[in-house]
Amino acid sequence: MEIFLRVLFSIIIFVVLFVVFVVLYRINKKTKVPKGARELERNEFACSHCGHADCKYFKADKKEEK
Amino acid sequence: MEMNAAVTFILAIISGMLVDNVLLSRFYGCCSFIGVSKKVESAVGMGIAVVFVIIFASLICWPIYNFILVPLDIAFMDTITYILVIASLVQFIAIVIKKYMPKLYNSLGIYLPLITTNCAVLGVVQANTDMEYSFALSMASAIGTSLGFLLVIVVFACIRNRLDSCAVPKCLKGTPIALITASLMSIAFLGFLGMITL
Repeated sequence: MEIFLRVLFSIIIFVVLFVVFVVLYRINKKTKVPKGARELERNEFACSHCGHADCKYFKADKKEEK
Repeated sequence: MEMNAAVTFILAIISGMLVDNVLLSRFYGCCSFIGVSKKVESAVGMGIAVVFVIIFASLICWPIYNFILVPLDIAFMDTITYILVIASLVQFIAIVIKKYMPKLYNSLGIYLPLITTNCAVLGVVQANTDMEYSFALSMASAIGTSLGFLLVIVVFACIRNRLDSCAVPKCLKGTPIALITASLMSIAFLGFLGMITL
């Protein structure tokens, strides 16, 4: 009898948690990413050499590219 | 809260963050550590998502274990229960990020659902059970460990950003130099070893 109860409780807990997971999973599936959202990009204003946005050579660097 | 308990709480946070760092000392969650550390913004997003999942998983799993599994004598169900709780939390986070931070969602890609299988999350919750921590101590451990994850992944992403503009030998470009950097960071974190014993 004791083993039966343990198995029963185990199944109940598993089913309850699984149902919660499935509900959230289905909501997640239905939620759509807004159109036009791109990936995050690296800071395009950063210096190509040291990575600093406020690099004192940055302006000269950009002029060179032009 | 007693003074002693408060000190223990803070020490547990610092210990989880630096001394027993989940990434560099225990080597849990290395997949996302290498995969999502190319951009600082993605690393911050991933770190915050993991912080949220670890803290809330600990918050939910501790009462479930102590007030449901132990009284019903089904403590052997702990791992399955934790996995389902973590999986549900990850789905919840995915919904929130998808809706409010779509750019971050696209950047995280497959690594967001993979938090479910991130052993850092399960490792922390399981360790809290195995060490028989009190609720406060398990929360401190969760906060410390998750902040440690966030700290290391962001620092590592910054280092990788700088590495991109360095003259690295061709054979070491990309993941190889990242792995060497991670190992050097791990050695650096060894310096904290033995600093705090709880």
